[in-house]
Amino acid sequence: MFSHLIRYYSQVYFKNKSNIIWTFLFPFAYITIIFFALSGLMEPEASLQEEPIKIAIISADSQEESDLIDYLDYFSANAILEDGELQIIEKNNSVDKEIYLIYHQTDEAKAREMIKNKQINAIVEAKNPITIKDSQGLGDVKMGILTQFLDGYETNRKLTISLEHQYEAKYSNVDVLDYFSQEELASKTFEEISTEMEAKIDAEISDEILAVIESQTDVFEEQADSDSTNPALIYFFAAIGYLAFYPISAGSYTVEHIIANQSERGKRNSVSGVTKTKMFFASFLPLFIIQAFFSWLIYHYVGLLGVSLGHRQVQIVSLMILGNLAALLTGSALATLLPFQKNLRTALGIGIPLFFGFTSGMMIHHIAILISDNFPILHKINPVGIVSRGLYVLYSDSNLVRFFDAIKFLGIYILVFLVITLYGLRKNSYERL
Amino acid sequence: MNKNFEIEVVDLVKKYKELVAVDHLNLSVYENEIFGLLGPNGSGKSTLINCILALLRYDQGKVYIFGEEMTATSFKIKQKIGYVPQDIAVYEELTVQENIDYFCGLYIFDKHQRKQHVDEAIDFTGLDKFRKFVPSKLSGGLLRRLNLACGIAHKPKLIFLDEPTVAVDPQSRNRILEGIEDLRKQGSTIVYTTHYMEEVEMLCDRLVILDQGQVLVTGSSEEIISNSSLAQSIDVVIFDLTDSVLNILEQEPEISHLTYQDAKLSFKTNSNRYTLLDLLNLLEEHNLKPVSVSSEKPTLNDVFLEITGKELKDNV
Ligand SMILES: Nc1ncnc2c1ncn2[C@@H]1O[C@H](COP(=O)(O)OP(=O)(O)OP(=O)(O)O)[C@@H](O)[C@H]1O
Ligand SMILES: [Mg+2]
Repeated sequence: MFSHLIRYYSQVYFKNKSNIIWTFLFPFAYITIIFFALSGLMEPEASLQEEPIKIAIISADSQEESDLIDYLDYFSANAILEDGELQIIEKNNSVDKEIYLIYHQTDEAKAREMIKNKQINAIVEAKNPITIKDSQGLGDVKMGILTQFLDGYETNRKLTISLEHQYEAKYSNVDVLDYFSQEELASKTFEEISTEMEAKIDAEISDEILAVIESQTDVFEEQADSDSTNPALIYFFAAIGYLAFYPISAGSYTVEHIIANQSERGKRNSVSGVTKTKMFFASFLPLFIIQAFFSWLIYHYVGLLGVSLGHRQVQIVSLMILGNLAALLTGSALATLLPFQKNLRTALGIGIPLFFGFTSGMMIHHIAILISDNFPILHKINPVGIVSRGLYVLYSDSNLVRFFDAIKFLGIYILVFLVITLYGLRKNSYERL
Repeated sequence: MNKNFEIEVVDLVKKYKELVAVDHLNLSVYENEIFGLLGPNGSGKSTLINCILALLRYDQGKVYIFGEEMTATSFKIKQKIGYVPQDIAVYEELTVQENIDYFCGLYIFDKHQRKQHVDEAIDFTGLDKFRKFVPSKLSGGLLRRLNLACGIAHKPKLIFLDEPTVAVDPQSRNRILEGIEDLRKQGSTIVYTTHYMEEVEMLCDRLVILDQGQVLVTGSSEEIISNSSLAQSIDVVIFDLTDSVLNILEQEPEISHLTYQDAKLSFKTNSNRYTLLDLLNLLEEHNLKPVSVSSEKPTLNDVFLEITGKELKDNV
C-alpha cells in the first residue's frame, strides 16, 4: 500500500517539468552564478594581516575602556595619529603577536573627524554593551570579523562577571579543611594559613580565567586566518543557506494533491479509505530523499568549482538537509493553512526564503547584526541564517559547540512546522471546496 | 435510520454564507438501484453529493451509508465507495493506465487482482488505444471517460457519478450508460447526477428532481409524469370527421382543448385515462380512417416547467 503510494507520488513529482527545473536545475544555476559573481570579489579585500581594521575607541567610562583595551591587546596594536595617519606605538612585549586590529583612543568629535577623513574604519564606544557607532570602508567580511571580536569581548565580560561571583562565593564559604590537613593546621600559625590559602584560591581561579581567555583568542585567530584566505566564502555560505531553504513550493506540492479543497484529485483521494497522513508521508518521503541527495550533490559541485567548505562533509551535508526539511515542512504547513490562496502561496514560496536570506545578512551583512540586536528570536530561528552560520562555524571552529547550538533551533523550527502540517491534515471536511 | 436503505439523508442543510445550497433535504436510496439526481445548474446536486461523501461540512442533518453514520473518518465505508467528481480529477503526470492503477490501488491492494480490475475499467470506458497517453493528450470526451474509469475500477459497492457524460459523444455516452447498467447488474448501487433528463428516463429506477437545494418530486420517471396533472397532446389529420364523433369527444371528461380545423383534430388528454388507443378505437367504430396520427407525451422537463415555471434544460 505505502509502496504503491510512494511509487506513484515520486513518479508524479519527477515527471513534472517545472519541478525538475525549479528543484534541481535552479540550485546548480544559482550556485554557478554566485560563484562567478564572487570570483571577482575574492581579490579586492586585503587580508587582515596586510591591512588590519582601524578603529577609534571612545568612552565615557575609563574602566570599560581599559578593560576593552586589555582584551584587544591580545591581537591588536595601539596607535597615535601622526601626520594624518595612524602610527603603531611599538611595545616591547608585542614583537611576535599578529596584529588584526589597530586602535586609537580619542573622543567622539575627533573620531567622527577621522572617519570622515578615512583614517579609521570604525568608531567603537566602550560601554556596556559595547557598540559600533559608525563605520566606513569595511567590507562585509571585515565588518563581520570586527563584530565577532567585540562579541567575544561581551562574552568575556559575562564570563568574567560570573567568575567574579564564583570568586566571591569561594571566599565567603571557604572550608579550611579543603586546603589543609589537620596536621598542617596544627603545625602552622594562623598568619601562615591565611596567606597560603589565599594564594591557593587565587591560583585556582586565575587558571579558570586563563583557560577561558585562551580559548577565545584561539577562536579569533582561526577565524581571522580562514577569513583572510577567502573572504568570499561568507557569501557562499549565505548562498548555500538560501538554497537549502529554497524548496518551499515543493513542500506545498506534497499536500496540495491530497487535500480535497485544494485540487480535484484531492477530492478523489479524500473519499478513498486511505488516511491523509499516510498519503502525506508517502508524498513527502521520496521528495525529501531526493532533496537530500541533491544537497549532497551541491556540496560536491561547490567543491568542483574549487571552493572548499571545509572538511566536515557529514556535518555540512546534514546541515543542508535539515535546511531542506525545514523548507519542505514550511511549504506543507502553508498549504494546509492557506488552502485557497494558491497565488499567495507561490509568492510566499519565493518570498520567505528571500526574507530569511535578507534578514540573515545574505545581501547586506549589517542586517544580520541589526536583526540579532532588535529581533533576537527571528535571528535565532531564521533557517537560512542557521544554515549559513552553521557552515561558517563548521569552517572556523575547532569544536562543534556552536554548530550544535545553531542546529538546536533548526530542530525546533522543523518540529513546529511538522506539527502544523499534521494538524492541518487532520481537518477532514471543509466549509467549501 | 432504516437498515434497508443504502443511503439515507435526513434533513440535510448546507449553507454557503447566505446561500442555502441544500435546503432541509431528505432522500433514500435502495440497494442496487440506479438513483438519479436531476436538476438545473446550481440546484445543489454536486453540493449534496459532497455532503453525503463528508467532503463538505454541513450545517444540519445526518447522512447514513450502509446503515451507519457517514463521517469524514468512516474509512470502512469509504473503502466501498466509488466517486466520479464533476471536474476531471486525475494526475496529469501519469498515463491513462497509471492513473487508473493508482486510484484503484487505494482500494485494491492485491497486484494481480488490481491488474484485472484496471484492464476491465479500460475496456469498459473504451480507452484501450489510449493506455499510454497522458491526460493532456486526450480529447475532452476521452478525458471524461478516464475520469469515470478512475472512479469505478475498484468495483465499489456504491458509486457516485457527478455528470459523467458531459461532453461525451453520443456513441460513447451510450456505451457508458450501458456500462453503468452493467455495474448495477454486478451488484453496485449508483447515484447518478445529471441535467440530461433523457439519460435519467432511460437509466434510472428512481430519481429526485432538485431545485434550489430542495426535492421537488421523487419516484420513477413514469410515476412522476403520470402523477403530474400534465396532459398528452394528440394531433390527428382526418378529412371526414362527423359531428357525432366530434360530439362524443366533446362529452369525454378527460379531453380538453379540443379543436377541429382544416382537417386537423387536436386535443389534450390526461395521459392515463384517455389514450391514443381509445381514440383509434372510436374512429374505427365509425369507419373513419385518419391520414396521420401523432401524440406527444409530457417529459420530465414539462413536469419541471409546470412546478417551477422554469425550463429544466439550460440552453445547451
Ligand atoms: N464553494 C462555493 N462557495 C459558494 N457558493 C457555492 C460554492 N459551491 C457551490 N456554490 C453554490 O451552491 C449552489 C449549488 O451548487 P452546485 O455546484 O451544488 O450545483 P449543481 O447542481 O451541481 O450545478 P451544476 O449542474 O452546474 O453542476 C450554487 O448556487 C452555487 O453557486
Ligand atoms: Mg454539479
